[in-house]
Amino acid sequence: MERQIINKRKRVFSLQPNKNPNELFARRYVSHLVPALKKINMNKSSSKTNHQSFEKTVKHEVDMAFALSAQEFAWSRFLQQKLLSSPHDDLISTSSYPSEILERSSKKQGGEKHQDRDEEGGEIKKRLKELQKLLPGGEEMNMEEILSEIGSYIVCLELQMIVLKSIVQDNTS
Amino acid sequence: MDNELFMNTAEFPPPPEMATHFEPPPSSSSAMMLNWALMDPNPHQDSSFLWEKSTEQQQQQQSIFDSALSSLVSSPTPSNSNFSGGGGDGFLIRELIGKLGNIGNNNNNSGEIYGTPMSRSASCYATPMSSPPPPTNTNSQMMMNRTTPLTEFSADPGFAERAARFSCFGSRSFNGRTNTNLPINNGNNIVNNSGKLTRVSSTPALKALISPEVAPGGEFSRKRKSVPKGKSKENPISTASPSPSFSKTAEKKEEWGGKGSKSSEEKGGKRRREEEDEEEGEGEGEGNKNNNTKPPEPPKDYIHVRARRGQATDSHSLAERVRREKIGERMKLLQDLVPGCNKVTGKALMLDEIINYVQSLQRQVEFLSMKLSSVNDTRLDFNVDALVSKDVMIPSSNNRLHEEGLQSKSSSHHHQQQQLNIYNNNNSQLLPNISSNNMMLQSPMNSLETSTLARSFTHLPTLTQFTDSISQYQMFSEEDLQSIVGMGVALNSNNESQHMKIEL
Repeated sequence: MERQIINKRKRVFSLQPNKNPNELFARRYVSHLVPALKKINMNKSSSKTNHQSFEKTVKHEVDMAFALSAQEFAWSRFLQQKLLSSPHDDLISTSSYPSEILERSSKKQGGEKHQDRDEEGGEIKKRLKELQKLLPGGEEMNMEEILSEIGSYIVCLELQMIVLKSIVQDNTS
Repeated sequence: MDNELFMNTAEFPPPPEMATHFEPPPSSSSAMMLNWALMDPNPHQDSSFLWEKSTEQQQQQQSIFDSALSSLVSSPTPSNSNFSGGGGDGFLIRELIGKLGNIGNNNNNSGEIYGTPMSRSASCYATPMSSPPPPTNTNSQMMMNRTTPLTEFSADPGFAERAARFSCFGSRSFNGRTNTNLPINNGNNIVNNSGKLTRVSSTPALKALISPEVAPGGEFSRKRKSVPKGKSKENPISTASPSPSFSKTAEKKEEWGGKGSKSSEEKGGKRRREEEDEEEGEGEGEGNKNNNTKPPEPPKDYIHVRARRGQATDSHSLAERVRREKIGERMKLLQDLVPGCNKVTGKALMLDEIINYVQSLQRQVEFLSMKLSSVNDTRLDFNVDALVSKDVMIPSSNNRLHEEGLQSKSSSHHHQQQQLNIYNNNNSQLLPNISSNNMMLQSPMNSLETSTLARSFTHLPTLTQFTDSISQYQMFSEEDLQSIVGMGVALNSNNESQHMKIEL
């Protein structure tokens, strides 16, 4: 049984929550994140920190909860290592995105002088490199690993988004 | 091993059932005594010293057993009834003799065994229960009667069985041996093998059989194989081959299974063995590691791939082909995950889509975390249970959070009703299964209405009601965009179809 929304706010809860990996992840995530947020709030109220560092801390906790909730995957281990080593850096930097996108689009329009297959292989490799940058720990994986890890990473990101949204929604209402 | 068995059998009490086991025909009686003696490894005080001396040297033991057996064999049956379970050495000796007789009969040494005189046996029987015979006398007597080597004598009922089995196996391989399910030593191995029996295709099994004998020249390429991917959907292929000697077959059954089917279907001339390096750690279910049980074969796993007819058969190209197939399978899986990949053909474009999607997800997470930090400023109470219970839309595998087509040019909102898709003017689709609001940061409409931040924020929670009209959503969408802007995120209103750029 899955959770289903029947009417406005009626829900059917799963009888076997542990068997749904999505739900498992969500529960783990919430259990990691919420206490961390509470702790942050307590600390914040005590010491006056600026908004930026507070945001960073929250982001850090969010990522940490994310990594801890999905320990079956290699990327989560990499993410954990990164978080532990550099606690205050932004792991997902938005500034790098535009450059990557622009770079890729410009290369697409470049002259195709080589054989199609080589070009395709080259393009694929470029994309794979970008994918490597996106995925935590992707630098150290080969192509097959990346492809398989990306699937789980995507699913966990989606789940994380659901949880975050519900948290935000609950606290803004 | 024989010594150990002797040690074991040397120390057993004479249980009362001895009388019942002992029967007139020497062979059967000896056999039963053989069994009985083996079944009770408990030390027997009276006879232990007798056997301790004998076990110093194996030949001494054998000689002792020889004589004991002969005496037992020659002695009549009914005398056993005189002995109770209190135990005397006579029983022990008799049993051992029984065993000896059994094996001695098999080995055509009966003449020597039976050659011992009656007197000793009579003395054994005549010995009162309470007093054990003097060890020196019996030892000396037994030592005098060293006869048969009895190399295979082990006082072990299973030993004869094993000996028979071993004899029927040539020097060919362990493959044949393991087929017979030897219980004692190879039970574990066989259990392991049988556990893996179902997962190997028939052709590799045959190859595995032949492989020990085939010299692996330059033809075989070997790589290590590891844990299968958790999400792999391939089913293991049950093998038709009875041979459990799968030391050369891959452990990574699921991925392997798909290839096995392919390889079996392919026409081919040569056989190849391959292992493939694969990722580890997707422990979502499978944690199979490579195990091999046959001692003479190296502990490696192989994927047996048959070359297609008319294609290159060198190991490199085969490996490459297998690798490509694996990558293709994974791409298909990803296609299901990422929205909009169905329409895209080609690896490069699909990878593009995947990259875009991952980037968008990451940005959303960042945005949400920022929002969370802003929320944290105001409110502090988190109700975990309520969160989990209200955590609606934990999607099943069929549902997707995504929007179809990142090319949509307006933001979208979500509400609780599962199947409701609301299309605003810009043809964006709502994610059907999201309960809470989603601030999809699509590239916005070019004209952004101005609105206050507070107003936009207060409107956000009310969007969860599915009765809202479409126009409302449109209006809220713009306001949400404003709110995003208000939060310091500048939306880039360019018209690039696939990219959202957020500058913080």
